[in-house]
Amino acid sequence: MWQNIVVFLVIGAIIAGAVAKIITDRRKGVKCPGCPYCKDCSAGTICSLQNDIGADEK
Amino acid sequence: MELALANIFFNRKAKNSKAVKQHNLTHAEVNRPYVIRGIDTDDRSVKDFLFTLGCYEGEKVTVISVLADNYIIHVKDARYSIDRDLAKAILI
Amino acid sequence: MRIALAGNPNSGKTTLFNAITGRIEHVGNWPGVTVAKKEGDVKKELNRSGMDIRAVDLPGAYSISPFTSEESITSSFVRNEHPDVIINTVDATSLRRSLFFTTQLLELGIPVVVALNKIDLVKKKGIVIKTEKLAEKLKCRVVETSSAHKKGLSELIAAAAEVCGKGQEAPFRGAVDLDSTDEAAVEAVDRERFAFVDRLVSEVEIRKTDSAAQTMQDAADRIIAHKYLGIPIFAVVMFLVFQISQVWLGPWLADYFVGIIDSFQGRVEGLLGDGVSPLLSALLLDGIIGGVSAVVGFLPLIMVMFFLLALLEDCGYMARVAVVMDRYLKKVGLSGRSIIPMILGTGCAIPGVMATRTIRDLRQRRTTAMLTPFMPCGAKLPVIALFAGVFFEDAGWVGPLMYFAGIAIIIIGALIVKNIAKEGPAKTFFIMELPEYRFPGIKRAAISMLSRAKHFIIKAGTIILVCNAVVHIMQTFTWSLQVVEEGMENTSILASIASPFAFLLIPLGFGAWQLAAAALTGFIAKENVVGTLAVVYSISNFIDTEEFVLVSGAGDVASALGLTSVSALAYLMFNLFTPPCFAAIGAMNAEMGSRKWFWAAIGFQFGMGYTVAYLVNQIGTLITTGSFGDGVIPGLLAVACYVGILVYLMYRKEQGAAAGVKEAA
Repeated sequence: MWQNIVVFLVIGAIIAGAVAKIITDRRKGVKCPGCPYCKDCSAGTICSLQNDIGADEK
Repeated sequence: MELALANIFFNRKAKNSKAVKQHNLTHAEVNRPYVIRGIDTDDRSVKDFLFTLGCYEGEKVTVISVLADNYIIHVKDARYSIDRDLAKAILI
Repeated sequence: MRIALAGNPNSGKTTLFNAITGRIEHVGNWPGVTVAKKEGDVKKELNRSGMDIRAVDLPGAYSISPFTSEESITSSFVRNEHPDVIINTVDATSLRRSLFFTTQLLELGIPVVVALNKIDLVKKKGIVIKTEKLAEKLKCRVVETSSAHKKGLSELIAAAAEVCGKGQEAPFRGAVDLDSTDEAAVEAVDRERFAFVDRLVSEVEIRKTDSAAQTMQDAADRIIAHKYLGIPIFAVVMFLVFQISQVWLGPWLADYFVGIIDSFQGRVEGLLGDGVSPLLSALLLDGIIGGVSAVVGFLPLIMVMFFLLALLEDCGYMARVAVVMDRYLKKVGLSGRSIIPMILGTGCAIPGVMATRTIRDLRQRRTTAMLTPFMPCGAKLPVIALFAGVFFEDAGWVGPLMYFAGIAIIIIGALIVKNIAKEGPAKTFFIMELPEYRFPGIKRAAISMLSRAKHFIIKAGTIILVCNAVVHIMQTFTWSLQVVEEGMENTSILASIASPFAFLLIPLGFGAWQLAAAALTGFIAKENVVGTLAVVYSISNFIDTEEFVLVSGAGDVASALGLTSVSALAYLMFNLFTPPCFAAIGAMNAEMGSRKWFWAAIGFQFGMGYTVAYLVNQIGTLITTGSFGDGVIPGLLAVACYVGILVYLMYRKEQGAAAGVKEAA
């Protein structure tokens, strides 16, 4: 029985951790978790790719 | 009298537009420096923007190559790719 | 103290910024402003002044008078936010153009340090610049730098620290109280300014070769951006990217990586032992670890691909792709600028959609925002890799096919939108500075790859983990919170939610509720398609196709999923070409600024995904088996309905169209 409780707590901790991370990120203004370019995706100019093509575009 | 005036006016206009047609960047030979005579566009901001690139009357411009419908031009030691519409607006 | 980095686009500001700050933290975001600036602290080893120095990276500008939204950020920052020092990065190879902006910055009274960047290229090109004379003429400090090679950086910071607090004298001053509405006067001043720069440059610069002369690069451009060769070359390049990442190098790395994950899962299973309730251990092993590791298993493939794409971006090739694509986009009523959001969209649709702000024409902006998500984004790569691996034996052509299908849909979509919103677009111009080709920086590409990989893992560990756990719980219980009995999987919460959708998907060749559920979770994040499939079919390993651990007992994943290769392709396309994830949908909503356009876009995307999948499935089935697949008639009705609405909208009376446009605007 105690094993169940431990496993349950572990699962709970993992999910709570993930949810907490999502929430804190959102508070910090990370609009798109996992966006490969940048923390906040407001326009491409600050993204790595934009520096190579986008910024040249006028 | 009025008619004659109008005629002169129209003729001149026709002549002008013909001249415009013949001497924009799309007619430029590749690899030959030209002097820009003017920018022909209704869009003020395009003209101003081109100005900040150094693309204005009296400046030298060279067409480096024509790729697809884009013109690679050389102005003030820098290379730009511009489209056909913009090339048409640059008079030489 | 704060230093602002300002300069022409492509003068190496951001490279300089990254070089002096080391890493990118604290991303500042201005509310209400279109494009963002970036802030970071200067590295301690470069900063000997003892002061805390913050660097602010601004978008590139050619002039202080704003013509584009990016430029207005830059000019309003230097004017209103009073940075202590401005570092003006100047591309030393094109002084004649760059110093125009410099003279404008010098007028502001804020001390300016000119970073004569790309100095290594100058020497290579046989140009000599008399730096001291330039400094004397400009009345400011000039430091030779090469941000790509990290040269001159500490000198630059030292110079900035030294001039901090001092004023700035302007070598050229236009009329002080110039009426900015007086266009002729402004132009006259700017003309003088250019003349001043010209005189200055002829004094300080000696050029041995004429920069207008043809170079090897121009010759290369003529082939790479050729009218007819351009697209095939792009196709070959994309094919190679996928072939290397998916067939040659990727799987080799992935096998090793998946082995580690598998042994981890085995170890956890061993730890749990027999005493734990099967419910909980299934949730942990299949739901959380299995689902996440199925997604993370694709990390090596994706990292190889990110790396190759970063190399392509770095060497200057993508700008040529923009040139090649420009003419096709023009023909369908899009702006040449539309290509930038679309190329950004291959990484993530959100920055892509947001980059549409730089398009001035409203209709083109909305159309581009609507169509950008059709480009397969980074999150869709695991889905593509999964289907290519499982159904097409890791064929290298599946990936490029998806990209070109995306491009084709964008072009068709643009044509349709052009015909529906009959509003003629304002004449738009496309001008782009062509960056020089350069040997791609391996280190830069590696850094870019690692940062993307980090975000990928974070996403897998947060959103995807939570989704997988929820999916697992939903498929384990019935609505009455009873555990689903063996063989009664259809009674689970998940099945009952997904079944109605699955019914709609029968004509597309994939009517199983599991597949519908995966497509649904895909709207939260596209990687979820992989995660959910892993959870509902209890498959944790999609990479190593020989060692499937299948609960259902089927021989391989393909038969477990109950898909033929044709319907698998249809399913893949359905997932790629339906509306993107919610985050991207939100970005679309923000950029469109019109409810009507927004819902039209969502409807259009759904219809498009459905139609494409329907056609692929039915025609493919007809070719492979000789008869149509299930549900051909109802599907046909749905597709005909959709096409009918589009055709009606395209050919309705002009009057109605005009009213519609007015409403939309």
